[in-house]
Amino acid sequence: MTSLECARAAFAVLCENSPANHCRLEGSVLDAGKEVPGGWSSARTLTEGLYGGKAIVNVSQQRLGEEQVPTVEILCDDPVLASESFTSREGLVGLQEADGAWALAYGENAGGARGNVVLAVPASLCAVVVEAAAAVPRAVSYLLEQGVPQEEILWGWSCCPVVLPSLDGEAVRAAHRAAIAAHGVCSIWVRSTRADLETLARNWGDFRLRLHCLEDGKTYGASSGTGAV
Amino acid sequence: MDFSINQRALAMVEEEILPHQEQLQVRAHTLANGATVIDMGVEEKAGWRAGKLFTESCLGGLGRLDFTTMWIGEHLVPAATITVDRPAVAELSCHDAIYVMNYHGVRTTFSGPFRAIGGMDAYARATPYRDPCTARAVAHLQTTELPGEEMTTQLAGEIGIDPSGLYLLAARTGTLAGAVQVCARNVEQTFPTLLDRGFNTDCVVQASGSAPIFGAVADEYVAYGRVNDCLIYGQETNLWVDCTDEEIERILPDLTFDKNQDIYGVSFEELFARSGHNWAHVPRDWDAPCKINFHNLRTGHAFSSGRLGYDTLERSFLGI
Repeated sequence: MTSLECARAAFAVLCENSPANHCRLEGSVLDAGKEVPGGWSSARTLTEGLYGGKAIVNVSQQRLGEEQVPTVEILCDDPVLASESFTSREGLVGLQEADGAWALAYGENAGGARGNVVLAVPASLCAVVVEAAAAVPRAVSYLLEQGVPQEEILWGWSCCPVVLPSLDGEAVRAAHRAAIAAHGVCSIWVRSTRADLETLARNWGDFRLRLHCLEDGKTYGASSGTGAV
Repeated sequence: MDFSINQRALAMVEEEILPHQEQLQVRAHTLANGATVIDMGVEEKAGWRAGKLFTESCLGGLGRLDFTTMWIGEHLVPAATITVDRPAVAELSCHDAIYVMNYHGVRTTFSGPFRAIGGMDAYARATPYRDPCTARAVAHLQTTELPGEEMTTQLAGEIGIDPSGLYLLAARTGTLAGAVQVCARNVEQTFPTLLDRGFNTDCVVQASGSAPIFGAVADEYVAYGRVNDCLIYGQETNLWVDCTDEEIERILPDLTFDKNQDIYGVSFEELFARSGHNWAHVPRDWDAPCKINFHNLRTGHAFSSGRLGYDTLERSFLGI
């Protein structure tokens, strides 16, 4: 299967499981957390589809302080594809066919999008799961912006908490981003000879970013001390 | 036992790997002799999912690899957690990298369910299981070069099958799939140690294990050291056994890597260098599991041996 086929297949699974998955299908638009609650299974399947089938999505939990908090772990085989998929185009993220139709799109509003669209508001489980799952593509987009060639970016791994404190969109955004900043961690494996990998890793402030360099075997950005340099 | 671990592994190859090569970033090569060599991370990029399928096919479909997490100091890292059914068969007859083939004067070590066809080596013969499927076989190899016709013809000959029935999965160590499949050898590492000490491995009813995953480094020797650090300093195995407590207590003091007090804490990269980068020269006691917990189902008593070496793991993880 190609990544587009995986994305389409994920949408088909979401639709087949609706309404049991607490989603609602209207035409080619699936509500996974807007007027209906959605849930873990649909959020996980959507995330797998957004990665084009090139990642393993685990929902687990970690102890953060006194509480066990659900986490999303991503094991990504194609971080560059993920970066493309999670880059917003007209309010949607996802994978597009050659003719511009969405094999799978995700956002808050469908607008005039053609294709398979999944909707959820920020104060939904779906939205916070996708946000927690987006550390790898966000980090890769940053690395690409910093001039790391895409062929040097090999694999990714992340683990981020899922926080849904209320149904207030702004409160959820703030709490969730704070939790990811405090506890989220993302590893990117790079084949690079750049001398500034430690600086690159440390300058990223949205969560802990570690760069594992295949060339020198060092891990950059890992510790709060002097790091691997 | 009328099930075939080679058929189970073949089903994985045919249903989960061959149709999904592009997605997995792997590539199958059909050689002129008919053998199928699958590049799971030698020249191909491969990745997490390829490492998982390499492992699960190497277990003959008797086990599962789940990706979990583990703390090493302040670092949360991915980990390989293995659960197996029929532990002795899955590990001793299948998963253990034990079968040695002399190829152009070099000891080349294979793992995989092919070892259960007729009982290819002493460890495979330590269980009563023999694979009833004797026409097609699945083998696994940790290597920096893709195997060719000569190697696959020789291996098929030693198994006693036509080369067209051989499926050989290969991955280098210094790539992610290679790191995954080595770090997944946590329960695997335990079984030969038990057997060497005369423990009846058929007493092991259930088994699970985990180890951190790092070590994807371009330099194969460095990678080799890192992934083995994950095992000798980071692996923890749980065994549920049905035996007397005395049988456990007899082997417990001499079981785990921390018995090597003179070299405990030294990275495996350094230990391997001291051995001339040759497994044949690595003392058997250095290839020992890190920590084993026994749960005796007969008595309800628990026993534990070994300890995790967090300091060494952290240095290895950071590459310092």
